Amino acid sequence: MASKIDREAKDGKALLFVKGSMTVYEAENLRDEMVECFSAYDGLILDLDGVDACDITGVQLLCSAGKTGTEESKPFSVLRASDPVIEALVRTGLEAEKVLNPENGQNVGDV
Amino acid sequence: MARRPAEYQGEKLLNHRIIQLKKMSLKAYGLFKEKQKDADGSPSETPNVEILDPLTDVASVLDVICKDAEAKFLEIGEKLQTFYFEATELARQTLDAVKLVGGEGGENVLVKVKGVSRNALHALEGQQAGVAADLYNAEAVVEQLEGLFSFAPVLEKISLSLGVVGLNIGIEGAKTEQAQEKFSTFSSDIRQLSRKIAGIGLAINDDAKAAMATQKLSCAQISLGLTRMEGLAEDAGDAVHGAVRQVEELTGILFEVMEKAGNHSKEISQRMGEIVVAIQFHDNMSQRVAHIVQGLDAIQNFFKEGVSAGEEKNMTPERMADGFPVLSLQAAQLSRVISEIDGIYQSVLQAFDEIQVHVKGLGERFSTLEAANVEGTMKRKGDAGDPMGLLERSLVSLNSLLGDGRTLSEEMRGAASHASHVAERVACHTKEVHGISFETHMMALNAIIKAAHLGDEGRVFEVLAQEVKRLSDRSTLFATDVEKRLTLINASASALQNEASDGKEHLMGEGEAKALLDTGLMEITSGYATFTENSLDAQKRSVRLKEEISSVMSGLTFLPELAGDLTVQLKRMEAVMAALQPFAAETENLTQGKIDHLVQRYTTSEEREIHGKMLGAPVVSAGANSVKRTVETSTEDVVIFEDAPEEISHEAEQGNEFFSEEAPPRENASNDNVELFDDFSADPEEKMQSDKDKAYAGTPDARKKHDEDDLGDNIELF
Repeated sequence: MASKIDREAKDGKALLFVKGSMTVYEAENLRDEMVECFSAYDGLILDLDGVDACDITGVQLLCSAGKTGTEESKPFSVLRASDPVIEALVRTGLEAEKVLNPENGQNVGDV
Repeated sequence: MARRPAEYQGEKLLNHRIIQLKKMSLKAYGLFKEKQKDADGSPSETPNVEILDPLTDVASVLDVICKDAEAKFLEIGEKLQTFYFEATELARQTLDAVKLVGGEGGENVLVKVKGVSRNALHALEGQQAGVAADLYNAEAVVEQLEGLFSFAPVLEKISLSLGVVGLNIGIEGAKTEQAQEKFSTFSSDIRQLSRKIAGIGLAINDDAKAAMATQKLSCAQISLGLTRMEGLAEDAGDAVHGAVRQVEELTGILFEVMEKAGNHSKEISQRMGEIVVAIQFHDNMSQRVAHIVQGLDAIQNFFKEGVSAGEEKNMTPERMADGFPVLSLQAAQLSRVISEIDGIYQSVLQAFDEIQVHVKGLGERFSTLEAANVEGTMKRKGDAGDPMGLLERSLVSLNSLLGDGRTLSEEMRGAASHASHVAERVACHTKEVHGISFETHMMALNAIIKAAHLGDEGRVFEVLAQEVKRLSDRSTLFATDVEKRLTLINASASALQNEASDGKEHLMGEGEAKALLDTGLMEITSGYATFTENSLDAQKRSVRLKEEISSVMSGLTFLPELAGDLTVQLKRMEAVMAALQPFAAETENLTQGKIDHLVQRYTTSEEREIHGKMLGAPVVSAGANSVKRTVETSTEDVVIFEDAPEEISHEAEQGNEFFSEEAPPRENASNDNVELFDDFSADPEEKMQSDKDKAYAGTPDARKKHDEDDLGDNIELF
């Protein structure tokens, strides 16, 4: 299922609700949305509970978002992650906590 | 050649003497006639034959005088031979020296100097142009290596991307067992290839960087060297041109000096030739004196035959009439010989005077030369103004520059070789890259196919495999670009090496130029040394000539002594004639019929001439009153006797003409005697041409050697 992205503002941060696939096919669209949110808001929060498919590309997006937030000194976090997302993270070998909550000070880029 | 005053004087004296002798004869005839008129029919008394006795002594003394004179003629001939040799050698040496500094042939020092200088400068200019062209190519190589260096990061990026993609494929492949089975190997292979490409990129980077540094350094050094060379070459070129100019000036001076010296030498040789010709008179003189001696003997025999044996010793009137003219004739012949000796002495003295003038001139020329040489020698000891030294130094400097240029060319060759080696290594790397690209491409295609087999699950793998394919295409493009650049590098490097090989021919050319320069310098120095040596030798020879002139001139005093001795004998003959004179037989004219037999004895034109003058017969000559004898020397004929001067009076008394306009008929004239230059043809022009032909016949090589500045050989004297 193609992805659908809803945006809300919360405490000055952007809150994106992603529903559907988060694979290489949707990666570009999602990336653009995330970049826009970082530039327009003071932070970004993702809600990935509605994601039903996630691949390494989706994982790379999350890593990249965490790095971007650190570089721009804007908070980034994932509110909720569905099972496909967690599985993709595990498959990659990354620590889920570090990827989903980089504000905790961990380097999300470490693999 | 104009007749010398002494010859005119001699001829005038001779003719005057002949006239006096004739007057004596006629006076004797007149006295006799008067006596006969006074006589009472009784016969007059003729002189005793013993009055002729002195003639025997005269004859023997004349013989002795001639023999003594012959030895002295030979002695003077030897001295003249030595002198002539020295003079000829001097002329040759000065001419050789002139050729060396100013001749048109290859021996000319200045021509060699100019040739060598021109070749050296030309070689240097060529070399500079070659090095400049090499530098241009070397800089092109640097530029291309810089481009190569800029390519290296491209390969690094490709490698990174391949690595990431490989990782992604690996992670995605872990999703399902089927995916893992299909793509795990692909993932590890891609990552391995990525590492390889990274290594190649590093190697290319390192090689290009090192080569670039080396090439830049070489270019900088060569550029510096070239700039320095250009500066020095300009200075060296100026120095060479300046030195050549100075050498030109010096050789101009030397040429002028030697040319004038050569003219003096030639004049000396020519005068010597004249003297040699004059001195060959002794053979002529000997023959004529011998004939006079024979004539005196014949006279005595003739008179004595007329005297009855044991009875009267007085000469008969008939014998007196026939014999007295013969005696007169012998006296005239002897008088002529004496006159000619005087003439020769004067002409030889005059020739030596002229020689001394030229020897002095030679000395002055050589003094100028010596001053120039001394000055040159002093300068050659280190003074910057020395032209030959300056030339030598500037040519040596040029030679050194040629060596520097050769070194630069060799450096260029080294740089070209290094660039070629780098290009070869990089070419190996790119070949590897090509291989990897191809492998990657194949793997990517396989992955795409496998992804299609997986259906929806394989969509991610398809995307990743397409990325791998794209990266492999990108690396192929990279390798192609590198190869293009390597082609350019190789082309520039080859051009450098070819120039250096041409530069090998160029080097050979420069080596050849160096060898030519070395040879040229040696030849110039040697040629100049030879010139200086010859000039100094010629100077010494001219000094020797001056000393020899005094020696030869002092040896010539025997000539006036000889004339004096002969004059004494002539006076004795005249004394006898004076004694006979009152009793000389009646004769109306001195006919030649009675003394025809004497003509048969004559072997010289002078004898015939005197004979003719005395007897009123036609003069034995070409012109009206002349005997012309021409002998060829170097450039002009030497005329020993010319036409009688107008002031000599031709007296005629009572119908007797002593000097005839016509030449006498020739009787048994001998052509064997080299002094016989007259023939007795009626046509004066034919005779003059015949005289010349005879002169040339006597010296067959004279005209040929004249053109070669040779004075010819004197057969009689040497």
